[in-house]
Order: sequence, then structure tokens, then C-alpha cells
Amino acid sequence: MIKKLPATLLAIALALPVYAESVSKIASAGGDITEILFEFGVGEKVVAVDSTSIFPETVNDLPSIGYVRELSAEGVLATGADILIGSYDMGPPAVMDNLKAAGLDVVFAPNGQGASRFADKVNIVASVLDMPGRGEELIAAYEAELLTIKTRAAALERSPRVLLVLSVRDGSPIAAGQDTTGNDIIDIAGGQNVATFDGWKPMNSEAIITAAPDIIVMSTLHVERLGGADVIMAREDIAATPAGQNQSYVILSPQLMLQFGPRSPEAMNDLISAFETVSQG
Amino acid sequence: MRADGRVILSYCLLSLLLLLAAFLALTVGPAKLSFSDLWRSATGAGSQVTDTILFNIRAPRMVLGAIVGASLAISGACLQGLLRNPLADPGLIGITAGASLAVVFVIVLGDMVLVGVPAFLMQAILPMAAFLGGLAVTLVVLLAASLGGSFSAGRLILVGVAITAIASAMIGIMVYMSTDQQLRELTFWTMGSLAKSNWNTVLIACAAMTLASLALLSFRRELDILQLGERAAFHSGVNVRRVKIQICALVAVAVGAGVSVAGPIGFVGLVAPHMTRLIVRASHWVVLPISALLGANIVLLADLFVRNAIPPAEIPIGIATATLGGPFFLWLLLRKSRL
Repeated sequence: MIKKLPATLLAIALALPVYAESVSKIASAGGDITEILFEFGVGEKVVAVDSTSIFPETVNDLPSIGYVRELSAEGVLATGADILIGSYDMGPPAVMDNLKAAGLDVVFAPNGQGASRFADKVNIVASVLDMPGRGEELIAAYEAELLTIKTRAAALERSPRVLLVLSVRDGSPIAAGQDTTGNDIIDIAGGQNVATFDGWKPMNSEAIITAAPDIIVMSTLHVERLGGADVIMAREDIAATPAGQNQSYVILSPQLMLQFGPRSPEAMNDLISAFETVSQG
Repeated sequence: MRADGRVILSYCLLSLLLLLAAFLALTVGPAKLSFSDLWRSATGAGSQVTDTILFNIRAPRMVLGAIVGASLAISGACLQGLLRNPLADPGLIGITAGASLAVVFVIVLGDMVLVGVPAFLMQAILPMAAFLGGLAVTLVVLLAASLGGSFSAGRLILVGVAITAIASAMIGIMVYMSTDQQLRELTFWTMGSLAKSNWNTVLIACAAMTLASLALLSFRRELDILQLGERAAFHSGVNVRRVKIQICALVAVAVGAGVSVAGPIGFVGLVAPHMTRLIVRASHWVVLPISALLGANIVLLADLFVRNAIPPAEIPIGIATATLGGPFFLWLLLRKSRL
């Protein structure tokens, strides 16, 4: 600690990112951040991840530092990491203060808005790793994919009405409202989110019928759990919508509904293919 | 037993209110349906959409709400009478904690453990787990309380508190292990909801709740005698120990069936009986049925509110029963104490 102090002070004095040379052990909190670190090709430097990091599969073998919003100070320090990179909701704040006080570099990636969610995260990771070149490459590749998606979206005959369901059993489904990642992927792919409330909330069954979605987006997890998409499409409320009558649905990994990451274009491509079918029909 | 005017008036007014609440539950919702549309559906000439909304969305929800409310209120009144403790509610003997624990297990570990379970069972697994979990934990509470001879009300309450604390700790461990998506699901479950898309689940749960509640009504005489104290009740020929076990078991079935489909809806079981006692100071002959009517009304009106407050989203009903009911109850208490 004491030995590191002069270096830290110098770094603060110069107000430069110090991470560059010293970054050798990274703790990552947030599935999107972990994926981005692996995209940078520094996966082998990641020594610990939180419980929302489940992709790529090799991270499942790494020590877990808990849930991104409820990290433990000692747990993170015990990993021997010299930097903690996490998503905007990393916490709790008191633990973050403890970690900073203990000399760990703590970096929050912004949540961002709409399509820029990905680029903002990549930029911060690039500056931490001092790999601006690789960051620009990733963003450029992402922008190119996004451009294709937007072109396809613009070519849609009409913008389909979409209901994105994060989780459902036999009650009101929890749907993606405005200002969620789920809403943004619908929006970019040229759809129109029928859930007009903010955030992730249970949506009333009658309101689902009145909203008349043309297509239902549901999560892999619930499809498997309930025994197939048919079960969800046969619900009284969903069956009474245009989506239910035409059996129009898309199945996505829940992680892609919740976070913008390197695999988001893939998800949006899946969505737009379904939108194209629906808007022609 | 002597039918005084106030009791008759309460019966009449609460029944009328219940009819009104049921009518509103069927006619007012986020889908704006005109009375003529609804009438056409009711007489079998409606459109498919109106039919679905009226018969498969609003009707099961109305039935479930009324019966959950009534059985929670009867259960609360019986436990308060049995334990002679005004704070007793169905949570006290471990039902809610047991049901929640089972549900948390299913949500967090279900996807790992329940592989290869047939689809039709998967859909029933959460309500079944909630019901059995509530029953099992209540059984543990009863057994633990009866160990060591004295099966007093005080002992039952303390054992209930202890076991609930253990269950909460285990829920905490599960919550800690849960993923983002599971956490959202858990949180919403613990706040309750009457939204059920399936008549079968609703009917099975309602049958269990109705039978258990009717059985509880038959304990009115014993509950009245118990107010004199357990010793006096024993000398009056009441088998206190057996009555205690029977009432707790019936409450576990009535509340457990409700929690299994609607989640834990707080406040109703505690407060409906108290409100009843503030309106009619009477024996359990009157308190139990009037509590039931009041409970049904509270839940139906709370549901009317949560369905229509911020459409198309839906507020969990437990939030409404607590935020609307709590202050009202406090006002009622303060107003009465001034008299």
C-alpha cells in the first residue's frame, strides 16, 4: 500500500489514466462489460467476474465476486485484481468507496442511451486498457452492423407493434417499457414498443390485448421453463392479439434484453427478420 | 347471535358494496369496453376480444380476488381469536414464509433442478410449491410448538417468529444467488398479483380456500369460549389443543391456497378483522362472516385500483393494500380511541 502511494499520487496529480501499463488483473462486474473485455482480447487478464457475467462460457470457471449491485469489498480485494471495471449500476456505493480507499481503481462504464449504449462502454474499456485502436475497430464494426440493421429497418413496409416479455409464468408478464435496453433494441430494429410505461413492469392482460402487438419477443429461459413458445402464445391475453393469431414471436436470450453488448446486433438482426415477415403479412 | 341493527346494517351495506365492487371488477379495466359491448358479450353475442376480456381475464380475477380477500380475513380473525393476540395474522404461523421460501427455491434453482419435467407440470409447479411450502412450514411450527408439553398461544407465536426468521434467512441466501431476471421475478411475486390467465388454477385454488374458510366458520363457538382464556375454555369442555391444531391447519390451507396463486397479499388478514371489530363489537358469530365480506371488498377495490391506476402497467396488489389500507386503519384506530 505505502509503496504504491507515491505512484498513485503522481497519477492523480497528472490526472491521466494510470491503468495502462499496470493493468494485469481485472475484476469485471456486469455481463456486458465482461463480454467487451473478451472482445478486446484481454480475457486472460480477467481474474474474477460477477454473477451477471455468463458469456463467454469460460467465465463460469472464474471466481465470482457476487451480484453486480451487491459486491463485497473484501471479496473483490481477495481476487488480487488491480482494477474493477463494472456497469453503471455497480454497487453498493459504500463498498465502492471502500475499494477506492483500499487503492483499487474502480471504473464505472456509462449506461448510455439508445444505440450509443455500446460505444460508450467500449470507449471506457479502451481507455482503461489503453487500447484505443482496438476500441475504434470494435465500434466501427458495430456501427457497420448497426447501419445494415437501420437500412433494413427503414425498408420495413410498416413498423410492427412489439411486446418484449422478460419473464412470464401464469400472471401478468413483466414487459420492457420505455427507457430499457429491451425498448432500444426494438426501436433500432424498426419496431414500436407497445409498453408505454417506464422500466420493467408487469403489464396488465387487458392492456396487452388493447395494445394489439403484432409480435411477441420472449426470453429463452421462460420458453424452456414453460415447455415451449406455444404455451406463452396460447395465453388468453396473447392469443387474442394479432401476434397470437399469426403465431408471430421471436426468442432471445434474457441477457440480450437487459444489456447492450457485442452480441446485441445479432439480437437486433433476429428481431428485424421477424419484423420483415410480420410487416409483409 | 342477537341480531342487533348495526350488525344487520353492516351485512346489508357490505353485501351491496361487494356487488358493486364485483360489478366494477367486470366493467372497468384498462381495455375501454362500452356497456353495450359488455352486454352483448354477457348475452352471448359479443366479439371474441370482448369475450376473452370479460370471461377469461376479468371474471377469473374477480372471483379470485373476492375469495382470496374473504379467506385471508377469516383466517386472520380466527388466528387473532385463537391466539388472543391482536397482532396475529396468517404470516405468524409460517404460511407466508414457507410459501415464499418454496417459490424462491423454484425461481432460483428451478431452471437447474427441474430439468425434464413435463410442460404441463412446469406451469403448475410454482403454485404447488407455494401451497406445499406454506403447509410444510406451518406443520413444522405446530410440531415445534407442541414439543415439550405446553402448547400455549404464547409458545406458538414465538416458535412461529423463530421459524419465520429461519425461513427468511434461507430466502436471503436464495435471493443472493439469484440472477437479475430471477430477482425481478421474485420481487414482483412477493408483492402479490391477482392476474391469472387460467380458470383451472383459479378454480382449484378457490375450491380449497372456500372449503377451508367454511370449515373455519364452524369454530365460532370455540373461538368465543377461548376468549375467556385457555383454562376456562378447557373447563367448558373445549379441547383446546385439538382446536388449535385444527384451526391452524385450516388457516394454512385457506391462506396457502390463496398465496399459491396470488402471492402474499399483506395487510388484509391483519386489518379486516380489526376493522370489523371496530364496526361491530360482537362475538365470532358475527366477526367472522363480516370480516370475510370486508376482506373480499378490500381486495376487489384494491385490485380495481392497481389495474386502472397506471395502465398499461399494473401495480402489484400488495403495494395497494398496504399503502391505501395502512393509513386508513391508523385513522380508524385514532378516531376510535378519541371516543
